[in-house]
Amino acid sequence: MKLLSKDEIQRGQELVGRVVEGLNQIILGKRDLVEQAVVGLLARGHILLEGLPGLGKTELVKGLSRLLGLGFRRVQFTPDLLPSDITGTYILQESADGRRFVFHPGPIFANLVLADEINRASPKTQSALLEAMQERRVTVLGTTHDLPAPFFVLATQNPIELEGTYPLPEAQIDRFMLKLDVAAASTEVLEAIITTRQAGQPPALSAVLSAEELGEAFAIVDQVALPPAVANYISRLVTATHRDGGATTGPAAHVKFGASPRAAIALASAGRALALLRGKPNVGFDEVRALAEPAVAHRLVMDYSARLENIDGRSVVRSILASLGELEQEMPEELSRK
Amino acid sequence: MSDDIQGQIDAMRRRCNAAVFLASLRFHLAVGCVAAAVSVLAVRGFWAGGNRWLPLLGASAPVAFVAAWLRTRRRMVSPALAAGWLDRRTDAGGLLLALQDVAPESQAEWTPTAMTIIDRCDRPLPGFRAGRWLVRLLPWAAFLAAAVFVPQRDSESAQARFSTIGGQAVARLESKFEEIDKLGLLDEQERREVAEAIEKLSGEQAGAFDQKNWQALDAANERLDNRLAEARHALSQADRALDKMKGGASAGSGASPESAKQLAAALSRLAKSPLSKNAPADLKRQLSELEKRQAAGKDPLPSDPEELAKLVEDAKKFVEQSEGEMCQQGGEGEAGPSGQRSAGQSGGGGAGQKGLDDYDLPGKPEQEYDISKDKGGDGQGSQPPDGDGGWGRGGVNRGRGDAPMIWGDERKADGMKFKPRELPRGVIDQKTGQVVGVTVGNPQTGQPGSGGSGAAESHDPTAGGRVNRHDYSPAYRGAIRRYFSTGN
Repeated sequence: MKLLSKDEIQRGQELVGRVVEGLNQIILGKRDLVEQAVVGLLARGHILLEGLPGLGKTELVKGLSRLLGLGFRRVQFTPDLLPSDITGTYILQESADGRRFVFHPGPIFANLVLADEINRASPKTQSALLEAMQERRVTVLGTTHDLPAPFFVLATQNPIELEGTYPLPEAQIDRFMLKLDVAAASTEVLEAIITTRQAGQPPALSAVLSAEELGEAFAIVDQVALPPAVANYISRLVTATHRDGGATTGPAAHVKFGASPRAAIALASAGRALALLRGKPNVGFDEVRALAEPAVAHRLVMDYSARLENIDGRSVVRSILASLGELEQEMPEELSRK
Repeated sequence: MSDDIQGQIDAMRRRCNAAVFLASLRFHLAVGCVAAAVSVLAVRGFWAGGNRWLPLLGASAPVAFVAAWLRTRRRMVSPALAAGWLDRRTDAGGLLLALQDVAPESQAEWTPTAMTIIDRCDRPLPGFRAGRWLVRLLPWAAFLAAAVFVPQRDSESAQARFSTIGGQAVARLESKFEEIDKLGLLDEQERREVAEAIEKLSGEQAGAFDQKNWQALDAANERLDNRLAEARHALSQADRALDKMKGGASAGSGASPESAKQLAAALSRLAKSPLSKNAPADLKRQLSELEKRQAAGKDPLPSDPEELAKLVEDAKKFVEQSEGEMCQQGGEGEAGPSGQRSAGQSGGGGAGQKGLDDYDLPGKPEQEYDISKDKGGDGQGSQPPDGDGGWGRGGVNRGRGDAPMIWGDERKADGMKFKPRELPRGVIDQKTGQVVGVTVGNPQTGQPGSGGSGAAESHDPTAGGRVNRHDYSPAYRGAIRRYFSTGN
């Protein structure tokens, strides 16, 4: 195994740093959110943004598309949206050779797709994204069409407007690498927003990364080392979310179905990206701990008692992190911890 | 991996292995302490040996070391684990873990960074927590120390306690047997059987004195008591017949035919009694002639008034002498000069008095102990006993309850119920009211409440003719003890 050289890490940080810096100009006061969004992109995962209206979810995605110089489409999900409205469909066209069906690609054929208010579409329409998000291709009338690379879906949803919304199916939620909660802005941030942006519009930024540079960043991320002990920690963390993982008390006991193997894959990939952001040649336990909540919590299916106890996936992950040792074996008690 | 980092990881590994060994050693020492303490307590409690084995406990300490070492060998810390602990301790962010198996050029590039991280840490290697180790071992060691200071069990006293009740009972039986044997009241077969029973019961003292032993003890006691009662009864009847005969003669009215008949029967019974073996030769001859005349169908009493008077006089002397001897055998120094025992002795006994009168004699003639018959002995035996129940001092007389009673543990007798048990045929013929006097068995008992106590317990046919006596198994000593302890 070969570790990234310091030059490679410096190069990766420089590439990623541009994106982070640009996003921080668009989204003020949310460095963690920006960092996690960039991590999701570097790990080539889809991101689900959840937050109240007006907190900058859509602006974050739009800013990302501008900074990366990627093809961008926005789909406003509504209850009457049909799958073909997303994937595209065949249309009968008249030509010199006669009539024939011609495939008109939908808005999903873009590098960066913003699925705005994704939970307003029916499950049937939401399912149109399943194959695209996992296989990065769509099949229409028996014909499979590849999506452009890279392909990202960044979806937003509003957690409070339940009227006329459809909860995302577990299969689709599982396809989102990270679910990021967009918190409200602080007083200082609000003050900065209203003083620097008179019309409320963020500064118009140009692309900071070319497609080649983005590919280079992806390659560097892939070379970040994942030590076996850290991989073991990720495995034990995901296993602990299952009932047969030994959780009989505490929040983990309220999990009906634990996280899938996608969770472990996503955690490892996102850990690599975060390690690069932090200038490390390897993934450490800290990266795993930092990304465990956004990468695992939304995949947990809680039972009915969890709602009664006001327990959600994040509290389950936090309790597991608190109880699970990073290494399989703790140091002997005869040795001092300090 | 570079030598510097490898050296740090190896040091961490050695330290962790030492800690694992210490933890294992503490566990084995604790187990050893508990096992040794339990062994010490068991030995101290059940074995009356000396303490020379105690140094063996110290010799067993190396066993704990060996066991801890063997256990540690299977739980040795791997280099990867040691690297992980060192990585966490130095906050290296997984770099030390990543450097475990990487290409040399990567190691060369990142080793300085890793060393910088290690050097930045104040104490990359953890220290031993000796105080915690000792504190965790201390309770078990204290348990062992406390067990060592438990006093050794005194086996002799325990054994003595164990056999006190049975041993005392057998000793009293043996004493009674010797005294009755001196009086010659037992024939050869009875003597042999009772001696064998005593010998067997003496051998049982070391073990549990069970129900069979107590029954055998009671049977032997009652056999001796019967012999003693028969002899006393014979003497009593002879004494009364002689008194009546002498009274008639002194009144000048001569002996009535009924008195003569009673005297003949009494002397015949006396002749057949084992007591006659101790009679003077002259009286023996006279009694022998009496039996011959009775066998021939003639009047057993001599027809010559002088000879009859001599026979009455000799028999009277012999009866008084025999009664005196029985009383002397029963309580040496307690009887008065006249040889008659006092009523006080018979009523309450007394602490430390050990004689035939201490024994529970079935059918003991009541009039023998009547105070009116006290011949005015002035010895120690004529003094009433101290304490509650002393005769002539009022109060409640609890009879033998005043005697010191030593109670042992209540014997286990599952399934037994507290109810009176009818005894086999005794010495009183219920039809005729006469004393049969030849059976060894117990007297015929009446049903509870069918007769009075006191005079009814007399063997005198005129005094009720029934004996209300209930033989309780020693298993009910607890109930009897409670009866007396509650002041009834």
